[in-house]
Amino acid sequence: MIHAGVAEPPSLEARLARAERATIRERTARLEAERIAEHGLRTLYESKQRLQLLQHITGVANRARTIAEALGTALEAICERMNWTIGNVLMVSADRTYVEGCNIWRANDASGVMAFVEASRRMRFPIGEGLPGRVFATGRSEWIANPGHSAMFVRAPEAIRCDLGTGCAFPVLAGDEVVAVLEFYMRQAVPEDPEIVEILEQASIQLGRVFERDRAQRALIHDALHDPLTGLPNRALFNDRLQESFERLTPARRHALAVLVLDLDGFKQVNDTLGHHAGDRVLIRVGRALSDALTLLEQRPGTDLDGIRFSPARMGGDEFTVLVEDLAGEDLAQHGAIDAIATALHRALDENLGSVSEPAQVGASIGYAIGSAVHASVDQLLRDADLAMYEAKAGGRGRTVGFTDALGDTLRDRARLTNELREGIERCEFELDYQPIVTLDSAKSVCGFEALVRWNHPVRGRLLPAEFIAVAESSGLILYLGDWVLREACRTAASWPAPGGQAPFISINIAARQFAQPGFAARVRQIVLETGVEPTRIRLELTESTAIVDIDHTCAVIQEIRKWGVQTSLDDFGTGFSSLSSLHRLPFDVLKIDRSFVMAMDGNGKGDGIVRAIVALARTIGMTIVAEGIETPAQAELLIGLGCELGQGYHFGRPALASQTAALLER
Amino acid sequence: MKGVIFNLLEEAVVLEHGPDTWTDLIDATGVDGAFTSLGSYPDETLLALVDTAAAATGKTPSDVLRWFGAAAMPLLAERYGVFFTGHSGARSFILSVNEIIHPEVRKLYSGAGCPHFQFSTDAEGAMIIGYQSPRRLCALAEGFILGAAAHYGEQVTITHLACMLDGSPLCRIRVRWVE
Repeated sequence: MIHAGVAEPPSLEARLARAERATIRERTARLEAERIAEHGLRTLYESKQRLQLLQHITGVANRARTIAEALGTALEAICERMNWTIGNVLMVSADRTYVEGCNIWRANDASGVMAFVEASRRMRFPIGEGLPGRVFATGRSEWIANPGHSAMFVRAPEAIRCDLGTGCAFPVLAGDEVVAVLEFYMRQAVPEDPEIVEILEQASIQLGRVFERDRAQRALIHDALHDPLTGLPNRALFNDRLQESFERLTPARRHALAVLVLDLDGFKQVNDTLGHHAGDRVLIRVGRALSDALTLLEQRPGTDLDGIRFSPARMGGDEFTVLVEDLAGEDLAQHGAIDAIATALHRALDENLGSVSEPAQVGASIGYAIGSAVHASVDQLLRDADLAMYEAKAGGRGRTVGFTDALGDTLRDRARLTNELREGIERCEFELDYQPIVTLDSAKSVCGFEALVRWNHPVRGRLLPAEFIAVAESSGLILYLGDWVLREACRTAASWPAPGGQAPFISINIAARQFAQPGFAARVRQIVLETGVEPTRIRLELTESTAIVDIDHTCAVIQEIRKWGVQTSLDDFGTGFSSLSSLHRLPFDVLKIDRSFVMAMDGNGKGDGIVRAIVALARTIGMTIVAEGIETPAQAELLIGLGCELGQGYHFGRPALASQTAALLER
Repeated sequence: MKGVIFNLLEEAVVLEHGPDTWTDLIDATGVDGAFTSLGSYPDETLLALVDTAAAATGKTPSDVLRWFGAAAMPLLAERYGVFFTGHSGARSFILSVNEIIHPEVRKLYSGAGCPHFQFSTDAEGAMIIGYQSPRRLCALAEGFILGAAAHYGEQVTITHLACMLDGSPLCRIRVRWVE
């Protein structure tokens, strides 16, 4: 016990001993403080190093232009800073069934670990097998001690040869998907270290971003070059491929290349009647049918098509193309091969489109052109294929037309005629002839005229409709020409005298496209008002094919113009579909018996029977009958006998100019 | 020079000659004498302490350094046992200096100027160590080697094939293991 104030002063020995104890305590405290500080410093150093490594890898991931560059640089940094002897990358295969070394590796001591690197840099591991295969399967990192002696390690012999003590493998994840596996090895035996595992996992997250960015980039490029609806290459990619293929071939070898252009038939009808969603479904189905059919064709070795390569594309709307490459053989054989391809495509569309496009029937018109030395550019080749397609389309549905020199000539002629026709309309080179229509009674008096258009061609002279109407119709110029005919005929008719108070009627041919125009009835009314012709004297002649395009429209127009007294006539009856049901529905006033039936009459045979039947039919429905093409008195007598009311033909009068017809009327 | 070297020297001196000797040595050298392992102190301080000890014992400074190196090894094994385990002998321990021990030293003592050794093997299987440092502490290295051998119960003979102290640009130290 210490008694302050009364205690003996401590001896020197005691004080010394006390000082020594204090020194030892101080010393112990210093050592402890140093240990604590050392631990802190070490931890700080290590986390700084890790942070630097991660920063470095993040930088690499951001800067790298390619996945390989990012992986290579990251691997090097990890090996160097974390003291791994070997780093190796394995990529997941496209079908996701295996991982495979992609020849991206690093080794601090390359010669010493050559055996292991050689076994690893190209090795393939099925999913679940070996260290990389397991990491691919589980998506989790794995640490392996003494790989040379692990039954789970496929490359154990090489690991022993290279004296590897520790290995580990990490997944690189893009989203939830393993896209690559990184593996590292070192000679030292190091127990699994959660800190190292965490760093490597962080690094692989950064590398995963490189994969995601690459995917996004590729998706963008894919989107820019593909049609989103069908997934087929779009016009840009098709043009690129065509250009590339075209440039690769010398002009003499260019016939190895061909282009097919497909334009859907009946697609507009699907869109109009079933809606755009149905239209889209048809386009998707077409894309798939084309791809499947072409793949099948490519897989038919030993046939004429052996070795041919196809690339389908959707150019836009309902237009598809197929680029055909490596076509063998010469002219005829090539056309044969492509016709066979087109036939296969038609069949594929038939088989695949039924259910999606019903009740509309969708098919395709196909035109194609084969490359030649004449083609100076891909545009010319494409243009030829387009022209062939239009030709196919013009001929009806589901046809195939290959571009030939002869077709080129025909089309050029047609183009020239179209130009001349346009100029002719502008220069008023047309005039009307009028052919009299007479009563088939004893008087045979002229009761009307049919207006017939003539073209005073500046070079070829006077041309009849057969020489230019088809081109006028296909070019759309018929709208101007038809309008002019309608107005001119009405104007002329208005000027005719009316002997005995009974002015003749005027029969005017109306083209299909003219009639189909939405404002047709209004246009007729306008012309009637402008020309002052009595509407009851006008008879508009429609062919059966014009009338049945849209029966509802036809009925509506006929009924509208009938309100003002304009009559309608069904032209060329018997040459088209001659559908009794449509005849019944359409309220025509007049029925014209085609000249072919009149010419076939002989007084007692089948020809007479047909005319008799038509007359009976018309009478039943209450239509007036006009027989065309009467050239002989005998024909006239027979028609009178059958009860025909009106007739026209050379027997009664040839078509003549308006000035002459006026004289005829006054006679 | 890192304080830990001074601490080791102090421990070695105290162990061999008693606690007073260290204070005497500090006083005789005329240096401050407060060293913490994490601090850095002038190289000259260590060399001055070695010179004083040499003068007091009648040995050369190299002898003192050699003694210090050998005596420090058990102390290091006590402080940093992890570097000694995992080696079957002194050869593999010595070979790990560049790759493992010095990197670890740098973690603790930021800015520590650790020497880099070149290792090779001669025709007779002896280890040849190349050393170059402005501090010219090859004798300390020799001492460490002797101490390491002793730690693993081995015996080595060390010869200097070339020495910076003799004007050579670098030291080449041959270590032969006595079977």
